[in-house]
Amino acid sequence: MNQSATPRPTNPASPVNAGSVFVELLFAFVPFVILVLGIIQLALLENGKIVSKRAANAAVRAAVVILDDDPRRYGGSPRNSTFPGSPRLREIQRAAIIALAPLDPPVSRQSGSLFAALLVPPASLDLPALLTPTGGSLNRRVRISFVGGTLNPGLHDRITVRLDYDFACRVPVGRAVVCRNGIRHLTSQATLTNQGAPYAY
Amino acid sequence: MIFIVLTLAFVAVATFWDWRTGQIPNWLTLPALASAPIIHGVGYGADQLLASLAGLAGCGLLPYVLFRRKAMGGGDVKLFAALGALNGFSMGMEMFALIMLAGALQACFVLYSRHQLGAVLSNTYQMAANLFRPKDQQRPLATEAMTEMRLGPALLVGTVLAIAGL
Repeated sequence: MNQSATPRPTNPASPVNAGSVFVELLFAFVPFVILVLGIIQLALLENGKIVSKRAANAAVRAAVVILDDDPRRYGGSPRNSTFPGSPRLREIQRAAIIALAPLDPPVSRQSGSLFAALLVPPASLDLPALLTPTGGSLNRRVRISFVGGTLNPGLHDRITVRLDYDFACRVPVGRAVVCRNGIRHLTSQATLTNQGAPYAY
Repeated sequence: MIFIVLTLAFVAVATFWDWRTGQIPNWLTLPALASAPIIHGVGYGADQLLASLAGLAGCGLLPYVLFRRKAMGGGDVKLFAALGALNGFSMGMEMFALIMLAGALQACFVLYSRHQLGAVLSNTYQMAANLFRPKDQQRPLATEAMTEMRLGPALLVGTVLAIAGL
C-alpha cells in the first residue's frame, strides 16, 4: 500500500509540523498501552490489598488495648464504647490510617503538595505531621467496624476488626480498566485476643 | 476550569488545522508549550509549575520516540506535550491514550469504507509478529508500505472523552 492509499494524504514536506500517524501504529499501540497501564494498575491494587491487610492488623492491635483502656484518656468515653465518632474508635481508625499512609501520603503542613514538600530542605520537614495524619482524604475512605455484633469483650476474648478502604486508582487509562469511578473497595479483617489494660498510669 | 477551556479551544483549532492541511502549526503548539507552565507557576505556585513541566516531559516523551522512528508527525508530538503541560501528566496521558483509541476507531471506519482494512491489519500483524520472531526471520516493513492518517477529529473526540472522565 502506498501513500496514495492514505485516507487523507498528508503533506510530507514538513514532517516537523505534520499531524499524521501510521494507522498500523494506532492498531498495535492502543491495545499495548491499555495492557501495560492495566497491569501497572493491577500491581498497585495488589499492593493496596497487602497494605490494607497490614492496616487491619494495626487496627486490631490498637483495639485490643484501647477498648479497655482508662476512660480518662478518651474524654470519659466508657470502656468498650465503639459507637461511630467515639474517641476510642477514632484512635483505632487512626492506627489503620497510619498504616495506610504509604498509599496516600499526608501532605506536610509546611507545603501545599508532595511536589512542594520535595523542594523543602529535609531538615525543616515537620516529621510528626507526616507520621500522624490527621486530615486528608484517608479519614473519609477508611471505615472500621467490629465483626460479631455488639461488642463487650472480656479478657482473652477474640476481637475481629473489619477494615473497609476505598483504594484510589490513579494510573491513567489503567484505572478505567481495573477500577470503577477511580475507586476499588477493599475489605480486610484481622483477629487478636483482647489484652485489656491491666495496668495503672 | 480555565485549563479545560484552554485545552478544548487549543485542541479544536488543532483539529481544524490538521483536518484541513495535515499540519499542526508551530504558532499554535509552541505558545501553548511555553505559556502553560508559566500560567500554572504564576497562578498556582511552584508545585503546579513542576507538575506542568513533568506533564510536558512525560506526555511528550513517547510521541517523540515515535516521531524519531517516523511513525508520528512532529506537530502531534508538540500537541501531546502541550496537553501534558496544560493538564498534568496523568490527565495528559489519558488524553493521549484516548486520542489514539479514537484514532484507531476512526481508521477502522475510514479504511473499511475504502476496502483497505484487510491490508492494514495484515501490516499490523507483521509489525507485531516481528517483535516475537528471531532477527533472521523478521519481515521488515517499508515505510512506504504503511498507511498514514491524520488524527483530525480523533484529537477532539479523545480530549473530550478524557475530560468527561471516560
